[in-house]
Amino acid sequence: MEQYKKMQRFRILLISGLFVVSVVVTSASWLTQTNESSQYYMLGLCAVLGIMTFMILLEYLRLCKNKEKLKAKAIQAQDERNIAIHEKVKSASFLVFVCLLALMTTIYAFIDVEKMNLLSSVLCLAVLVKLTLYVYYKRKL
Amino acid sequence: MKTKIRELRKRHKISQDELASALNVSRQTIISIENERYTASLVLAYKIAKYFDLTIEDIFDFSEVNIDGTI
Repeated sequence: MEQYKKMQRFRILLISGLFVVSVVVTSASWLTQTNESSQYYMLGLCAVLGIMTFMILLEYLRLCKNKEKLKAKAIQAQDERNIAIHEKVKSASFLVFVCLLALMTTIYAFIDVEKMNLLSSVLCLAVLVKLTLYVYYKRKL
Repeated sequence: MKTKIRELRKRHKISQDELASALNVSRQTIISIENERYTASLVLAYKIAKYFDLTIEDIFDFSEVNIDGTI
């Protein structure tokens, strides 16, 4: 429970930081009007990020005040069945992601070679990260 | 894996909620273990056994588990 409380405090700090950054960037892109489409894109993105982080922050703060809810959340987070479900979801989604990326790379090989190169490098990077982590944990555990 | 948790719970007149909060797991986990959909970890199995003051073998049925690990 104490560990979860600590983690929650860290999350609040992180989300607050993100909120401040998004507010600063939104204000900066609002004040510097250059009429470029990229500026509007940035403004929209940061505004959405700001609203989202604000809502998450409110939810976290509300959760910290309610001890019953906090305990329920802590149990949910530490529950071994939930952790097992998350692990399965992660591995399945990675597999789907890699398969889709491989399919897109194959399709783009006939349409656009540059995009195909980009996609294949992302695919290689994803597989490389997975392999590296596999070797690391194989030695560690 | 077959377990005697439901049986023991009823004998001790404990609800799934009470058992779950005593073991610091969700009620869904208790339901899944009782319905043989989820196999508890060694730590959780130990906690359950300790809660009922029994051994792990008294609660979980290992007769269907082969030496090569297959169930």
